[in-house]
Amino acid sequence: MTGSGCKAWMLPLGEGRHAAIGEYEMVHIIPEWVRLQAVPLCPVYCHKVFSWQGQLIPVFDLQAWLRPQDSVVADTAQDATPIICIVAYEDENRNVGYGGMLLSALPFRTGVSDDRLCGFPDDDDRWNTIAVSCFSDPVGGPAPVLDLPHIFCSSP
Amino acid sequence: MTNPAHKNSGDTAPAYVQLNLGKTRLLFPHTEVLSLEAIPEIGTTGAGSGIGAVNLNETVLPVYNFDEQLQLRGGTQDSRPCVCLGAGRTAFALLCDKVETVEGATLQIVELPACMRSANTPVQSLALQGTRILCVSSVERFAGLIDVSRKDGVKP
Repeated sequence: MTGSGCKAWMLPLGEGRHAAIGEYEMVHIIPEWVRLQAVPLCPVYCHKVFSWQGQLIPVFDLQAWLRPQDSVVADTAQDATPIICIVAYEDENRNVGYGGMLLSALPFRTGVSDDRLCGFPDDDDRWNTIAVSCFSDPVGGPAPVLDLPHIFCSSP
Repeated sequence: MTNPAHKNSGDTAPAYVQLNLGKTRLLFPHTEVLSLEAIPEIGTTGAGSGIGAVNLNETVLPVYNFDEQLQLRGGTQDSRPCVCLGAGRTAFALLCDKVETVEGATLQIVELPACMRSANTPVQSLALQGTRILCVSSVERFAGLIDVSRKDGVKP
């Protein structure tokens, strides 16, 4: 997503925030209720998994990750229908892995060009650790471009 | 009921024992199960930081009561089964809601995703059994949780 005229998926995170991933990193949007299994004592922003096509998919809650570590995070109710998109990434051994991103609304596509590059939202340095760049979208506002291998392959 | 696997390890022995703690399903290797006490006689002598103690072949094991979030709880629940676990010099007993054996062949074991790892969780891998997701632990990992929980104190 560094060249001009490429496509991206905008991921609504809630509270007006968005992040973005490359067009081909989006694999699937879970359209129906899915049973999430909590794994005790894992990080609060990534403590649930679900089974998808015979694979275990960890669910990353970026909004929870962005909150201060000592804040209380409301748990995702099992009877609610969370919106989860499945993303693909390549790990350091060039194996394809899959992860889930918890969203507040359905993702949408947008165009990206070099003249839209901007700084991370709120001057938040934490984005530096999980995003490779940022662009300004006319609908979604500033959208950090997520570094998916770092998000899913790095220990907290 | 003493674990027969310690006397005669046959090829047909189940690979894991599943302990249900609320919605959390924990698997321990069958070789680490010393005994299943359907109606445990829990005493107070030798309880240490546990809620009580059970006597197993003249060895006193502390009994711990964890909830589904793997928070150490006080008090005793009436008539719940108790599983005595041990590896090396470490041994303890856990109260649980239900206990059953699980054939290893029915499980697909996968590493805990890197993004879900934490120093506190005793879960070292996950297991898929059909669409069910189970948490795989071990005596060594769970003993680490007991140590940390004892320092943090027991929740009422």
